[in-house]
Amino acid sequence: MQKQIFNSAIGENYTLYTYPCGFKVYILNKSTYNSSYAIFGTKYGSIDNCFSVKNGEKLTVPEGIAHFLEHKLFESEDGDAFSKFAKTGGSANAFTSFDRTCYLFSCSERFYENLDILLDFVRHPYFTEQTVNKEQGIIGQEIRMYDDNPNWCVFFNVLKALYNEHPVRIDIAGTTDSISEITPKYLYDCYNTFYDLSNMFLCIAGNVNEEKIIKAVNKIVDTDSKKEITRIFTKEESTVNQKYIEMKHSVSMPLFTLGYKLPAEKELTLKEKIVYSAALDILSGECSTLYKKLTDLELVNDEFDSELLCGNGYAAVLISGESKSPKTVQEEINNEIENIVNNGYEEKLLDAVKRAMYADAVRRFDSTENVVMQMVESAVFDYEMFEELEIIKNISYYDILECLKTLNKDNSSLSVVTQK
Amino acid sequence: MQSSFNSKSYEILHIPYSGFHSDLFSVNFFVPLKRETVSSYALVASILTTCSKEFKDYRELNIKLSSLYGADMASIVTKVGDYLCIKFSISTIKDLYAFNGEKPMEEAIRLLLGQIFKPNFENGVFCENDIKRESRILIEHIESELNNKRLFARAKMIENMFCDEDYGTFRYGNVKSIKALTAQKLKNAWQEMLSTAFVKINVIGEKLSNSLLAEIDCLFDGLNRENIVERNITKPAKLPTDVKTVTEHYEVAQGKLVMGFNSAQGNDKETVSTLVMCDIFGGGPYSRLFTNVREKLSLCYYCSAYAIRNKGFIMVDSGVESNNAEVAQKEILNQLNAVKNGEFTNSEFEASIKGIKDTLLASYDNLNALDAWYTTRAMEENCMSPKELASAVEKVTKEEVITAAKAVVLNTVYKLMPKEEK
Repeated sequence: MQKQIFNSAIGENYTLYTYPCGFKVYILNKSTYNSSYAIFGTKYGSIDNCFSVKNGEKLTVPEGIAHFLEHKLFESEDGDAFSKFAKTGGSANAFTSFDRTCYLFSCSERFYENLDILLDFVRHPYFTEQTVNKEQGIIGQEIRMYDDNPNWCVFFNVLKALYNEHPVRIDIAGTTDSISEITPKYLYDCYNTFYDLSNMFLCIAGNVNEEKIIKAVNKIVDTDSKKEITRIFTKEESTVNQKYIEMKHSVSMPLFTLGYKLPAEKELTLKEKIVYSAALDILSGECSTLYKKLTDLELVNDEFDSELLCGNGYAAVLISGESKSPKTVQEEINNEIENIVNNGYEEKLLDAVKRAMYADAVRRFDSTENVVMQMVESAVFDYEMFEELEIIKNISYYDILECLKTLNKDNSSLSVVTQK
Repeated sequence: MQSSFNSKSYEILHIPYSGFHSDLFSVNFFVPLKRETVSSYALVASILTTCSKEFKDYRELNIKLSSLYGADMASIVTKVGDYLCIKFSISTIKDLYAFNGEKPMEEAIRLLLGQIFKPNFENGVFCENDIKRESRILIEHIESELNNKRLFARAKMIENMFCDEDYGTFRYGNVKSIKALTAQKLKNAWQEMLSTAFVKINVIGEKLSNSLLAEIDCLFDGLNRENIVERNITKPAKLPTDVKTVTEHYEVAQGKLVMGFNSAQGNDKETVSTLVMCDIFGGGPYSRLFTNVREKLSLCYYCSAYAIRNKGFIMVDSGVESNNAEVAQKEILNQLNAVKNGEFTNSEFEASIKGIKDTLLASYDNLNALDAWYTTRAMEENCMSPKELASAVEKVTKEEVITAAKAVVLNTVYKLMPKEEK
């Protein structure tokens, strides 16, 4: 087992333990805090619908299965994990996203007992026809709850429009039809492939003792071998699927998300992700001339926002908001990108944005939850958490310009949810 | 923890916590909650946080905030019992983490005070452009409540349960009342807020310098604050004569069922028992509602109960298929009766105590949670700290939980159902 300690200029430090099988454990001690937060997760999410192990038989599974599996893991033959956490005062939850599934708890007392429960229930699956059928009903209701959420709809529609084949275009929970195909065998196949410690991580922040944590972890690490998983994706075209997609919903005014498809043959580096974040702040953040113009023209309100979405085989910039005229907003955004690329931007903006980003990165360490989420990001993409602080300080004027050049209006899609 | 009361009739609470990388400063104005004035206060709050005498242009203000290490300035308007709380807050990193020996927090506090006390006036009143801009955005916020059906249904239940009380109003008022506001009316509201509101200032982190304290004193010195809002004016929710049931139909895939119950109100032993009772009933995944209504009967994807202590009511909200709504409502009432009859296990009781205690202690690890805690209790004479409430929760007995449950009375049922059911 390899142990590395990372220190920073902001008075925080963390330890990373890497086991021979590849299992990673991140621990950050916050001795002045009452509460602690832990995530035990796997690099497996909704996009992993087709895979093989050791280049063996290719397996294609129903959409939404990663999320279904997350629900089912809380159940076991002797009851459910929530009732165990209830006895020790741990507040437990879980989530599935495109590329990870995470099981978590937070508590202010009895941390090690809660940790034992977490490490236990995630590693002991129990699926039967009866429990699978019951869950189909509950998840069916969850899917309908999201169907009523126009923000969710506008987001997933832009992914459908940007991507032809990549499974990022599929709703994380699947559909009521796809989840009806899920069987215990499928669940076990997915579990046995992806819930291998070589594909997993444990991230902890709070008032904790490292030795006690490693003692608990050592009990569950019983192999040095790594699972060779091949994640299989249909080739994705570089061009968008469709340039416009619209849905009607019960909303007060139209919602929109404008997506720019980016090359994704290689995963973006940490520096690239940070530069995109800064570039988007300069292009469309609260300090930007674009935001001021759109607000003064009554085209957007303070829901106007942007993000970079990226992972295995996908990368896109998304700019979203509410507007009476989404197509006009799209035009203004494209004009402003061209304007900045050709004419530059105010240098004082970059300094202000860098200070704000730096402070955001520092303040993340104030919350055990936020710092654990950052550790999960580090585990999934394999980078060092404190690197971000230096990268932010060194973003250059030209980094921003080069970044904005990648936003090609001819390779973008506009998703609109409009009133019925 | 220190607290001081200033003779100029504002209160400062300082929580000298050094565990965070940032500090927080908030100024909280409490005025009586009235339907006819909520909109004016909401709009004043929006305008004050987007421009001022020093920063007439909101883009320049945002650039300044970013350069103060992303200082997070916000105004939030909330109902706290029968008060409207208008909060102005700012938070940024401690001086220790600034690049070049700067003092971002002190500068940020001065900036916030400038926003509140020195607005951007034109001809002695708020500037028409600023009013137009912020009115439009506030109206869009009100209208977009419809987008989140869960929150919308909860707001509608409250509107119906408190239809003949000011508490039933939405915290921003409504579109018509915002459109009726003029520059003079807004100035009057601003002056009223400064002169008559009960003011609570929370300082979390480094204490204020003597010079800043003197500046705050000076700002309040210039005001006539002879008639300040009193504490403890909140009355509990009125008991119903009959249960009110309201069903509305919208374009939704999943129905929403929200139920309002009368319960204990205030800051005493009874409300502590109600807190535990509500958690056993519908708090976490060990609660009666989760384990029975969702897990055993699969009637809802979510079904939770919340106690609104300062107004004395409990709200249960659930997402249900429309054909399950009646059955779900009956089962929710069955589970409440079960708690009234003491039909909950020691495990469920202990799980609630532990769960509540855990949540309370965790609030010390979050700047905004600490600020919110002391803000929502500012108008109570005896404000418990999270630790004190955690100790009180540990002392609650099963019999007290049963007594608290027996005092819970169904008041209003609101259903938001799919249109094709009509």
